[in-house]
Order: sequence, then C-alpha cells, then structure tokens
Amino acid sequence: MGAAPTLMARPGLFEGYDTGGFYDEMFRAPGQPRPPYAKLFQKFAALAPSHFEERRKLADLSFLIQGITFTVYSDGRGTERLFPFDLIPRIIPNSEWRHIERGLSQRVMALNLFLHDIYGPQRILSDKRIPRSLVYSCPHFRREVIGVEVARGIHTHICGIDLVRDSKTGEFCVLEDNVRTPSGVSYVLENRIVMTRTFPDAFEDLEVLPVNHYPAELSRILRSLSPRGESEAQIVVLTPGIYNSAYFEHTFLAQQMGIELVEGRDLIVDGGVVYMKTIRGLTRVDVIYRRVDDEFLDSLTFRSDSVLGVPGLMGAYRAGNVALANAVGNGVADDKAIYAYVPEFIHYYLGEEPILRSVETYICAKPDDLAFVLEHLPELVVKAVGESGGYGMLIGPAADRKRIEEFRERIRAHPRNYIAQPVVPLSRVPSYDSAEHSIGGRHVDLRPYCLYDGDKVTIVPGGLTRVALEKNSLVVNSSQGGGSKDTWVLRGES
Amino acid sequence: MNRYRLIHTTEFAYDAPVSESYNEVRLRPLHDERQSCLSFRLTTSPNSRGTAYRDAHGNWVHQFNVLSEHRRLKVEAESVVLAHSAPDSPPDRTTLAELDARRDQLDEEHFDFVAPTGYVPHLAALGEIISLAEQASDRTVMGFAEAVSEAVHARFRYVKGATHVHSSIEDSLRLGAGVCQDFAHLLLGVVRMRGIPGRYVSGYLVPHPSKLDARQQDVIGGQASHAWTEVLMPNNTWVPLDPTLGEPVGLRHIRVAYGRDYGDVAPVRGVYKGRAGQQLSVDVRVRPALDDAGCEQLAETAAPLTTSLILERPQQPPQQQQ
Amino acid sequence: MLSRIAESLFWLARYIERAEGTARILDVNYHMLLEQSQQSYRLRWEPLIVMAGEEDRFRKLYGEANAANVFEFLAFRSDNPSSILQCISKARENARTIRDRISREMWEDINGLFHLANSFVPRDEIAAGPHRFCDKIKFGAHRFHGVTDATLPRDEGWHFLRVGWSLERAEMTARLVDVQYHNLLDGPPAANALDNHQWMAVLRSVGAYEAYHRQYHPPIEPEKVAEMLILHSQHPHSIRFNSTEVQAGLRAVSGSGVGTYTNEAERIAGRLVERLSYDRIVDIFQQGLHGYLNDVLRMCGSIGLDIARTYFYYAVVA
Repeated sequence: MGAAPTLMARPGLFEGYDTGGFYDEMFRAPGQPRPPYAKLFQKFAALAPSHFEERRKLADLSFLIQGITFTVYSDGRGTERLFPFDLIPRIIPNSEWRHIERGLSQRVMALNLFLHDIYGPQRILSDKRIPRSLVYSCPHFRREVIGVEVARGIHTHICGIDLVRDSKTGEFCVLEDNVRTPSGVSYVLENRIVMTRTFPDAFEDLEVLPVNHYPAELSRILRSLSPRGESEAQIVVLTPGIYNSAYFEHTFLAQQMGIELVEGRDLIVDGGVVYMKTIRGLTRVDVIYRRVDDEFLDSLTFRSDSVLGVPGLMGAYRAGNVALANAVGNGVADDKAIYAYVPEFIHYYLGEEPILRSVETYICAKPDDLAFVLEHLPELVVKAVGESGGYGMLIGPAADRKRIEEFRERIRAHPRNYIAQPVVPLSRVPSYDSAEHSIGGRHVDLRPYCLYDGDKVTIVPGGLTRVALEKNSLVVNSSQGGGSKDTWVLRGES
Repeated sequence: MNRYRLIHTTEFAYDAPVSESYNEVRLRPLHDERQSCLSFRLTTSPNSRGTAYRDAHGNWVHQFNVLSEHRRLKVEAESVVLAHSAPDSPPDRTTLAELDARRDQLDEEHFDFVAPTGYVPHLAALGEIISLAEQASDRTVMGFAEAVSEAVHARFRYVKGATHVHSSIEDSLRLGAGVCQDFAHLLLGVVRMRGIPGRYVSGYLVPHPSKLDARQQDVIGGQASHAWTEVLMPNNTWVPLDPTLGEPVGLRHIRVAYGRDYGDVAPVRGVYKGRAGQQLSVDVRVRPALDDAGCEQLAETAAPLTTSLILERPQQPPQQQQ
Repeated sequence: MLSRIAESLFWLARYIERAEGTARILDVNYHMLLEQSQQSYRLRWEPLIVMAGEEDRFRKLYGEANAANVFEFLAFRSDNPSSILQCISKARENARTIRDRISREMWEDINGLFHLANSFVPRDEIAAGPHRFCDKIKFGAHRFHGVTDATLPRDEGWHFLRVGWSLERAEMTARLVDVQYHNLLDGPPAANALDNHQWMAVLRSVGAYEAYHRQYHPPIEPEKVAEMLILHSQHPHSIRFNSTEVQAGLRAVSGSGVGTYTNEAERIAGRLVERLSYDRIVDIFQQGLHGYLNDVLRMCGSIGLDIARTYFYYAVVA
C-alpha cells in the first residue's frame, strides 16, 4: 500500500468523505483506500462530478426504458418504481469470497437436510435438538407436505442468504435466510450489464468474475428435476402476474432460460397431471419454478380464495408428476426463530462447525428470552418471524417511545411471532446521495444467490448488494428506500 | 353383527353451470386394530379423475376433478366396516398432579393436540369447566376427562343449526348450544387448556337398532354423520369420549378421520369456477352389510378414471369454494 | 405458444391500433371542424363519440360536445376505456405480460410510448389543440409497427398480432364510414362545399387523401370515398385489405389451404373476403350502406369471438 499517499493527492469525488466510525469497505481511513479498491478509487477520483452525474442519469434512463422496475403497494394501488442503482461498485476481496462461498454452501446443505428431515422422519425432533413446538408453531410449517417425497431430495434449489459485515469485527455474518422465493438475482445480472455499458473504463485492469452463468445453472438444475426425464422436460416459471413486485425478474429469468412464463390460469391439473393451455391444446408440464408463495399455490389445499395458483397442483406434486422449485413448506427453515438453530443443524446434520457466524438471537417464545427482550427493547432489533422485506420490524435505537410500547404489546400478545437481535452496525460503502449531490458512506448488506443441485452448491460470485440510500438508515429493502450496487468479486486480491 | 354398509352421499346443486371443480374428500373409514374397512368405493357424477393419498394424521384423502361444465356434482362414498371390540387395556390411574409434572414434555411431544387452533382457541371462559371437572373427578386424568365430557354434555344444548361449519367454540360458548362438532371442540378446548392432548374424530354413529332414545335420534336425525373426541392418557392410549351423546363410545361409532379440529377432517371440500350459487345436500345411510339374500357385496377402492371434457367460457369466472 | 400469450399479442395489437385510429380521427376532424360554423358544431362533434361507442359515458361526464370536451374525453380520460391513454396503457400492460416473448426492442418501444403519452399534461394539450399530441401517438404507433416488423420472428405470435391489428382496423374503418355517411347524408343529398370538406377529413383520417386523388378525380364524391375505404384491395386502411390480412393470418396459424377452413373464424373471414372482393359499390348502396357495414361489423365480431373460442378458451379433451 505504498501508493496511498499519492492517491490522497486527488480526492475529487471523494472530497470530504467521512467513514463515520463504521467499517468502511472502500477506505481504511479517510483518503486511504483498501487494496482491492485502489484501482477503482483512482478511476472515480479522477472523474469530474459532472461526468459522474451524467453517467448516473444514463444508467437510470437505461433501467427506466427497459422497464426494470418493481411495484410498491400503498393504499391498495401499485406504483412502478425504479430500484435505485448506485454507480459505485462494491468489491469483495477474492479470499474473503472463498470463505463466504464455503460458509454458504455449508449452510444451504444444512437447511436442505433440515427440511428433508422435518417433512420426513423428523429425526431431529426425536433427538430433541430443536423443540417440536417451535417447528410446529411456525406459521410457514406445512403439515400438508409431511411425507411428500420431493424430486432428488432437493428442497432449497434457490436460496438468497442475507449477509452483513459487522462493523465491530469486520467479519461477514448471516442475518437471515431466504429459502422460499428469494428475489433480486435479476438485478445482479442487469446491474452488471448497465455497469459495463455506463462505466466500461472502471473494469479496465480489474478482473471481475462474471455472473451471467446464473440462468444456465438454474435451468440445468430445474431440468434435472423432471419426472419424465430431462430430454422431454417441459419447464415453466410460474408468476403471480404483472402486479407482483418482482414481475420483471420473472420475465427476465424465463427469457434468459428460454422457457415459458406462465400464470396460474395458464395451467390446469387433470387426474394429478399438470398441463399448460397452448393454442394447440394441452401440453404436459414437468417442472415449475414457482414464484408464487405456498399459501397461494393451490386453492384446494391452501387458501381457498387464491386465484394466483393452480387448484389440484399439490395432488400432482404429491404424486410426483410435477416438481416444484423451491419445494413447498420451506418457510419453516427461514423462520426467524428457527434461524437461531441453523448452527445446530450444521452440527447435527453435517457434523461440522459453522463457517459463517449467525447473529445472536433472542426467541420470544422462550420465557427467559422474552423477559430479556422486553427489558431491553430500546437496544434491540425486533423482527416478526414470518415476515420478510423489512416489514414488521422494530429498530430499537431509532424508534420513539410510542413505537417501542406498541411493539411491547404486540410481543406480549404473541411472543412466538417475534425474535430480537442486537443491532448489527452494518459496514458502509461510498454511495452517491442524489439529494446532496455528494458521495457519503451508506450501510450495505449482501445477498448471494445459491443454487443447489443435490450434490453441490453453486453461487454466482458476489450477489446483490443492497444499500440503504438514506443517510444513517439501516433498512436496505427496496420497498423502503433501498438501492443496489454492482458487486464485484475479483479474480485476484486486488 | 357389527358389520355395516355406509353410504355417504354429498350433492351440490348449482344455479348456473360451473366448471374446473377440484375436490378433496375424507370419506374412507379408518382401518386399524379397532375397526376394519372391508371395502370402500368412491363414485362421482359427472365422472372424474382422481388420486388418493394419506395425510399427516394418517387419514385417507381422495382428490378428484371435474373439468367440464356441470350443474350438479354428486359424490358417493360406499364402505363396509367391521367394528371390533376395543382391546382391554389397564385403566390409567395417573393423577392430574403427576400429569402436571410431565406437562412440558407432553406439550412438546403432542404439540398439535395441545396447541390452540382456529376452531379451538384457549379461552378464559373454559377455566370454569376445568375447575368444575377437577372437583367432580377423582383427580386422575381419566376421571377428569370423563368429568369434562359430562360437563360439556350437561351444560350445552344440542341445537341443530345453532352454529355453522366455521364456528369456533367462542360461538357455542356464547350460545350455550351447538352441534356435535361444537361439543367435540369444546371438550378439546378444556382438556388441552388443562395440558392433556386431545384429538378430533369424525365419523358415523350407527343408530341403535332397538332403543333409539330421543337424544340419539336428535343427534343423528336420520343422518349418521357424527363427531367426537379422543383424549390421550399418560400411558399413551387414546380414550374416546362423546360429549354430545354423553354415552360411552362403542361399536356403533365408526371412525373416518382424525385431526386437530374440524378443519383437518372436513369430509368434502373443494373449489370450482363459475358465477353460481350452490345448494348442498348430504345423506348418510347405514345398514347391515348383508343384503336380502344374506350375501355381502364387496368392491375395491378407486374412483373410476374416465375421460372428461372441458368447455371453457371466454371470460374468467370467479373461483368459489364449496 | 400459450393461449394467454397469443391472446395478449392479439389485444396488444388491437389496442395500439385503436389508439392510433382515435388519434387520427381526432386530429383531422378537429382541424376540419375549427373552420366550421357554430351551428353545425354539435352535429359534427357527435359522430366522434358515436364512433368510439361511448355516447352514454360521454353524456354522463359532459354537458355538451365541444372541442375541448371531446378531445379530453377521447385522449386523456381514464374513465373512458377507449381513450388514447387507456388504449396505450392497456397495450403496454398486455406487452408487459409477454415481455419475455416479444423482442426487447418492441417492449422498450411500447414502454417508451407509454411513458411519453403519460408525460403530456392534459390541460396544456387541450389549450394547444390535439395536433401535437395526436401526431406523437400516430408516430409512436407507426414506429411500433416498424420495430415489430424489423425484430419479431414471423412465427405464430406475429400472426396473432397481424390478425389483431387488421381486425381492429377493419372495424374502425367500417365505423368511420358508417357514422360519417349517416351523418352527412342525412341532409340534402347535394355534395356541398361543407360536405366536401368533411369527406376530405374522412380520407385524411385514414391517411387515404393522397391515394384517393391518385385514383379518382375531383370533386370528392361520397360513393368513391366509400368504394376506396371499403373495397380497395391495397389501401392499408380499407376493410377489404384488412379482411384479407385477417384471413391470411388465421391461415398461417392453422395451416389451412386456400378454399378450406379449420375453424369458424376462418370460415367467416373467408366469406367476408369473398363479399368484399366481388361486391361492387353500386351493389352496396343498392342494398343499403348502413346494413352492409353492419354486416361487416357483425362478421368481424364473430371472427374475434371465434378466435377466442378456438385458441384462447377452447374445449379441452384431456
């Protein structure tokens, strides 16, 4: 790092940048970039603010014209919004990525084994390694699939596991698992495309590992699930439709994999076999990559008011005539109270030590934990166990008294519905603040996308970096003011 | 002769054509050490295609679909069942105090049969029945459960139509009345709150050939469909209790399905497409299994698998529930 | 191809076409009418609403048919399902449900048109008159045709688009001719200057003014205008041309040979093309223009219904 002093001479865009006492992924100290960022810093620092602004607008326009938007709901009306893209990439050093990759593979395998067990022999319950009551009281535990044999024993085909870097230790740890229908991977791919178009020069001299093999790998896994064999496999993506917030992603993945994008009304079940309605009659369907939640999947088995799914689908699934990815009932594994037991799953099923740390979790269903949580609400983050997307959350230090009391009541009324964790001081990455026209440190998380084929876990290098664009905010969710960044894993260390 | 032929007919009449009807039925009687299901046949009109499986509680479930337009749907389940005498087991003498010492373990092992459900929430109002039954009992678990059954039987009136199929015990508590489904739910609510696992049983009550008392006639009213409960004793045997009838459960109780509550065992449920209202009629007939000539007809399980036609309408009709 | 996708392509094309047609009619008539006397004002505006088939709705919303009201209603109102903005919005929604099946360029084009159309401020446009707005819509629709032509493979999806916009065009032209004739010929038969003016507008609104003059000599005669718009074999807005397109598209999907049909839609399209090919304009006037056009519209309606029955919502034999 002998180059640092000369870099300090031209701070440009980064003038006055303050790391604010957090772990800053780009700077170890003001003006001193960490080694993996050195080349990138030079390029950005050399850029006039007006040029930066110009390219930023270009990138935004590109997203708008392509219709890469998500839908936000308020007052029952959907509005399309751009998912803000921050032009400054986030870099993950190669050696650190290798570590993350090993940790995620381990975690995904353990989650899969847990699901296979819990809907099968339930060994882990007989061995009393996790309370049955905790599993059975999980709102997403599906008794309807107990005993159902899933294709090739795979439950967690696609997982999005949220990681954060703890500012205190600088170490990545797991914040939550998403093993139902995690979304966002299309942004990983589109962000890279837009980045290479608007900032081709930033890639010079840096070997950034590619991400574009994701659709091919997903397609390979889906094909392998076909009950009629791979050669005849008819695979579809099932979307809730254009009003779903992730609709763009559904079309994107279908297109990239060259398979049909269907809605529930395109499919029909007859005698336990699924067909799609084409202009030439019915065509049998073998594998469904479904982006419809369990409870809406089959109005005969789950919510009878659902019109998004396919009545009778569960019968076909149970009979092994169609494969679903992800499997039904996965929500029990990413329940936020169950999360606390994932290290135990790793011990129990794999006989290994967890490679990635989890965040300390208080389970309000346990009386001792409950008492502690109620006493320390202003210091804790409280989360509803079955929710995702940052909803149903209390960030103690940022909340006023009224909100804290409101949560206290809610927790008391339904302790099983809540867990609490200490506030993790998320690391920061320089990001552009369009209100202040300057670059400031913003908190980020990382969601890598893991694909499991029954033998091994494949993870596209990096994943989706979500950034809380609002100053001092810790909420990175797109629905609540979050944006994203292109995430680079370098072939080498810098 | 405890051998019965049961014919359970469910018929939906729609006031306009409907299509894409998907149904799930739990109509096949259980087959275990206490009763033998000798034959079971499910037929539908119009004809349908179906599959069968066993759910998490071990119940038989048949699913079938009718795609083509129809104005009525008839589901007929015909079974022949042989009821056995219950195997003698030593009465469980565990006391409530002993049970309390093991309560955490029971909660854990039998979570589904202790936890509150939508139909059977834990309500403070049940506390009264708990203390009443404790006082009336010999303080054993068995004695308590029987006292609860008697208390529910005594305190609630059997009133046909007092509640509906989605009523929880809150409704029957408020009304002081209900049907067998509510009586069973009430008993489950009380024992579960006391920490004793209990399960819901759906089935049939065969009318007594000689003495058809008023109550029994009222309960079954020409229909043999019935619901009662089973309560788990600390020695791991399930003891049946019928709080509606207030009589011991015997060879005339034919079991079809177990569940946490009615929601797990609904005999027929389904969805269909169409802008039509529906009328439901159910008819259950029970008779001795032998025909006039003294012969017994047996048929094998399976819904006929025949081809159906679907005629779709240009507009997407709403989906409804049955 | 999924039935729903075929259906979305069909409707995408129809809505685009409807938006363009409404924009043309609005633009041309507006400027024509500004030159008219006050007394004929109401009489002239009404047909535009009738053509859109939205008289009841219009009457509920507005007291009288004047330039500003009609423009706002046909172009911007969100409670008028046939307004230009609504058509473009529905075209885009249909495209959105099949964006994995159309070319990226087509999607970006229609998405761009949607954002453009919504960027107009109705109040400003009403003040400025419809030309600026309508011109953008017309151009946008033309560009979409061009982009589609240049980027979409000629598979069955393309034929559903083709059938969709041809059917819509045939219907729009039939309604245009019907309403204008009804209106103009109600009065004394002499083709006075005012009517002449109006017929020019009719021709312009389907982009046939120049073509008319290449084929016929002045003055503009109503029968000849009708002949051109109904029976011309090559003009892209004539009913005959579009019926032939519908028939060709349907045959391309089903693979039916000449002189045969495999479904009701094809049979009716065949009959329609045959009538339009062998009827003369004198025959049409003899049997009554209104009745004739009504038949055409009924047949177009049946074709649409049967396309739905054959390809979108069919009887399944499992």
